[in-house]
Amino acid sequence: MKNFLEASNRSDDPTRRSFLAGLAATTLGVTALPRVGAAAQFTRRVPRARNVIFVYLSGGMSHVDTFDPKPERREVMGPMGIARSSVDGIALGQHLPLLAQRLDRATLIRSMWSNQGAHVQGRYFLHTSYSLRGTIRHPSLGAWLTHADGPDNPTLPPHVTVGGDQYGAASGYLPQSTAPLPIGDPGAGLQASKLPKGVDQGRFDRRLERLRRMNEEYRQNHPGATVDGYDTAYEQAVSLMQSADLQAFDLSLEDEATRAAYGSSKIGQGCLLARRLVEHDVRFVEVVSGNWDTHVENFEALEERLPDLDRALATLISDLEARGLLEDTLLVVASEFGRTPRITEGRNGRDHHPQAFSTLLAGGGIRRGHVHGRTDELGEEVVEGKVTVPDFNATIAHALGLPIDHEFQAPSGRPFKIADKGRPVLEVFE
Amino acid sequence: MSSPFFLTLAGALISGTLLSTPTAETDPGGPAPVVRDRSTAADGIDEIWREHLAAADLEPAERISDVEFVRRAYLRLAGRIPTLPELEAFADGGDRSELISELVGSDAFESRMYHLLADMLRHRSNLGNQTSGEPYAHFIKQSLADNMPYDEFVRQLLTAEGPAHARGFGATGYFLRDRGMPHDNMANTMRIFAGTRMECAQCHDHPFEDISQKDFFAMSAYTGGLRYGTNNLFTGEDGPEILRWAAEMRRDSDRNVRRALGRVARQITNGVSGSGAAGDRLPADYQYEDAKPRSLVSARTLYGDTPQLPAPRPMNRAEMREARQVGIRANRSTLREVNSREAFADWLASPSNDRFNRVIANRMWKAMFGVALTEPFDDYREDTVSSAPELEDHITALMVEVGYDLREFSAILASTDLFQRAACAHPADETSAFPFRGPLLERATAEQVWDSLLTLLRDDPDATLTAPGARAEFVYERYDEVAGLDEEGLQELVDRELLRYTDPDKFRQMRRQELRSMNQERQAGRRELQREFARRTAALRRDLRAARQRGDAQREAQIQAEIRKIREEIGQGTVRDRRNASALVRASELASPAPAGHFLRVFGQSDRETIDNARTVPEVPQALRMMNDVVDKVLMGAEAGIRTRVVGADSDRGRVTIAFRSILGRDPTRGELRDWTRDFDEFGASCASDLVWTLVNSHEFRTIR
Repeated sequence: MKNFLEASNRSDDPTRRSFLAGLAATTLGVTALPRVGAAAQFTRRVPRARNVIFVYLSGGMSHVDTFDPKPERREVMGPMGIARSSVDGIALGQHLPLLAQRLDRATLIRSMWSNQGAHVQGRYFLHTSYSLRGTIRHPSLGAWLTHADGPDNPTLPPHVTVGGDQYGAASGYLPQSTAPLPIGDPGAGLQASKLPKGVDQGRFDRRLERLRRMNEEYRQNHPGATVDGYDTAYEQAVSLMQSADLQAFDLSLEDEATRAAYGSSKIGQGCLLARRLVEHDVRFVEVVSGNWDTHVENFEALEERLPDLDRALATLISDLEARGLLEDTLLVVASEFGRTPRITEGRNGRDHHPQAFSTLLAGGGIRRGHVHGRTDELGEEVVEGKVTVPDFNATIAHALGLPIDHEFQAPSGRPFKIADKGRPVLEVFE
Repeated sequence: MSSPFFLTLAGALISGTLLSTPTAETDPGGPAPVVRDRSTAADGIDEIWREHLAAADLEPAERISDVEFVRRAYLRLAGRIPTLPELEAFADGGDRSELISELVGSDAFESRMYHLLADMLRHRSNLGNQTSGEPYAHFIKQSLADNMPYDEFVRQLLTAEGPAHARGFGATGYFLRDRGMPHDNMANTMRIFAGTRMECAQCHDHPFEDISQKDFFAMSAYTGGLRYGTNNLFTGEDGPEILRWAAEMRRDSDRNVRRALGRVARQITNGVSGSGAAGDRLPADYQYEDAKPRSLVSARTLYGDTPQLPAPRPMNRAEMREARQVGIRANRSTLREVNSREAFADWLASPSNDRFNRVIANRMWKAMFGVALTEPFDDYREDTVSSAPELEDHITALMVEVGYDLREFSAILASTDLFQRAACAHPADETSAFPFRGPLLERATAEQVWDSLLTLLRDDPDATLTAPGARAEFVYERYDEVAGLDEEGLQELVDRELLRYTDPDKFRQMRRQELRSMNQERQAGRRELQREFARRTAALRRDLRAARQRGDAQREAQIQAEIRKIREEIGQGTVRDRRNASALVRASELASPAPAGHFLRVFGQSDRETIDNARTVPEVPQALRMMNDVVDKVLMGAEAGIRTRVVGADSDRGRVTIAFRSILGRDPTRGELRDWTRDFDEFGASCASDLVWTLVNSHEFRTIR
């Protein structure tokens, strides 16, 4: 708190200094962490990926209707057909024709495995590699990246979630400064980021100074009160308001054709915002898309939702590539679990299915036109190349050059690794 | 909003005459009688609490002052800070127990309780599959308004049957919230009402507890045979004919027509039926030796006395015939219904179900003191030990004793000495138990922050509360309308829905057109109100201009207060206008949850997707909203209550004092008074908004002390 209040009175690039000072102050709270230089000794390769766009399909997307169709088995597919892809012998579900044409840029993992069959637990596991426990909150991958490798753009938060869902990405036991900045509606961008009319910088600084004084007194009168998190949030907010890169959040600066190419859906606009943020050196952007929990009328629901996802992902891959961003941006598409290949009687739905599902990776040094792993002919069990959720996260962390073998200590003294016991799937790298 | 009975009760409580009288005397049909004097009950708690502290060698925290008390009582019981008049009236020799009675009897208490229950039940205004959650909200709010005992409330949820959108069947929302997922629903039921986590056992034997997958299915057997639809189709006199017509259409048309028909029919058939078959079938992949996959499991409770029910069996021919006559699609695997849901509800929501009592006692305790005595209180296991076992046993018994009357229970907790003690921060080590020297010092919930800001805006924030069913009215109207349609009218609806599939572009265009004309209608209504406002305030506005020219700030503020009153009167508007997410009304009047990006969600309102997941963690957008949006644009808007009061005060000293009292519920310290009057001297009147800005952005404002 002290930092931003003092710094904002200066005219010489106050934001960068105060922000870094703030980060240093808050990050020291946890452990002697390896910063960029130290990180290198834990990795076996030079990372190609710098930033991550993590598209999280909340609710559990059906793998057999999308990334792992079983066209030979009518009892699995029901009315669902397939779409041929740009990779020989690989097909996707029929509602993903555009993405299928970009598969030559991506790797499909068809052998994901999780042991968490409920949404909250599954979502938590996917994000943190640890099971949900009553006594501790673990950091998500975006927080780890922020913590271990720092921001590239000192005035923008390094970790952003778009289309917010609760209890996904989170700072866990890491400092508040690693928590994601949540953007609810991508179209609306970052709300309230400008000074209100009639309040100039001088007056704003005066307000901040009065606030600092009040809060200082509050701290003295209420020993032990947990207010550091709010101090950090205010500090980051002030820094953000002064950022020259604020327009990264403003989709209206994109031309109509680009906006239309991504589609007007929430996921489409979310992916577009993610691209803008990555362009401005935000490290980890999670785009959340909801309503994949198709227990009832699975096929009707997917017919409605998949075209939006298809358009968004296909355009994102092309757009990143056209701008030369695909080289160092890792695109991840994942769900907490898959869905039962067996179609439920009476309600045409599919239930939760953690023991076999699929994810997609592209860019950032990932192999192109590759499929890793295989499920049985019904899509029920993994028969080859099993990838656990921690393995999957270790793979992403490895792509980023994060120290997955290093033991970090939580404030309670317990040791943790970035992806628990997960091992990276080296086969998916170029 | 309150039932007439409740108004009487509240009135009596305020005058103090009822404090030691059983309510049953006033209204024999009312809630369970208060069996003990409130303060005696509170003393009972305090006695054990003090022993608990003494055993840990701790002293109670300091006793709080009247002004600290009034703010806390309002936040915890009414869900908002007190208005300045409320605060000053109390500080002027108010009686704490009278205030408690007044608050638990208020509409505001119901508003606060609604959020507590909505977080627990994951209540959403839209339940998906063309099902509105408004009738469900109506049921929850009506139960609170009627002060329905909690056990009865739970029983009604678990036994609800009927059409979801018709008046009087809102409780069906409990099962429709988990449409198509009776097993998840049972796992949720056992968690939120009985503090027992069974969800693991849905798919396999519980890894840590002695709960097998078969045990789980024996529990879900109680809701076996549940149908997410009603048999109660078209209620008009040509009902049977319409059914024949629909059956023909279903037989003779293509898939799209059938889908369109389904969408139309669902508006009526949406609901819950099936009284419970006392049986459920094991899944096809059941892997244990003790039973075959797909075999029928009889209902059996996980613990306690299993209610006696006939063994489950498929319907015989005669039963199937009978079922088909009332529209149930019965086949050979359809189970006979034996009212097992009712038997289950009686078992669950019973004084002899210790976990049921513990969970609700802890839930209410946490609402008042910030931390439950067992954390988490929805995951009791064999080896669970409460942080204060005697205290927990005591309040659990008390919950039964007051007949699950949540108002009375809250009032008793608020009457304890513990509630009059200074709030304490949680020890840094989150894993150790909270010592309870006083309540927890915690950030207010999103709803409390929103409703407190509303309190700064208007003198009567609770006047924005409408009748429990206000938001559901249009759902009921629509239901009655469609249920009463003849074939021709229905055909029109089917044709419209058909466009969805045959010509989606045209359908979208039509929807846009409909929305546009609805908006035009609404705008016309709004213009009408604006004209009325202009007419009624013409003279006042003339005076206002004159006052401004004279530089008479006090008079200016006075006039603005009068203008605001008129606007508030006119702004009562229509129910539809209130549904607007940007409406400045109490949070319980808005959609549940508020839309993503709404102030409430930014401050951590539960998305009501998972149980009890409201949050109070700091996030950057909260700081941005508070710094850049709330103060200069809203709180310091021309007619805002806080602005009028602060600007209208007769001295700078008065301005500072009023701002501190209104926002933080206390007087400024000497230092604060000196600093701020100096600022007013130096920077002039504009300083008022700086003052308000600073106070609402402070740690103190968002904290319940």
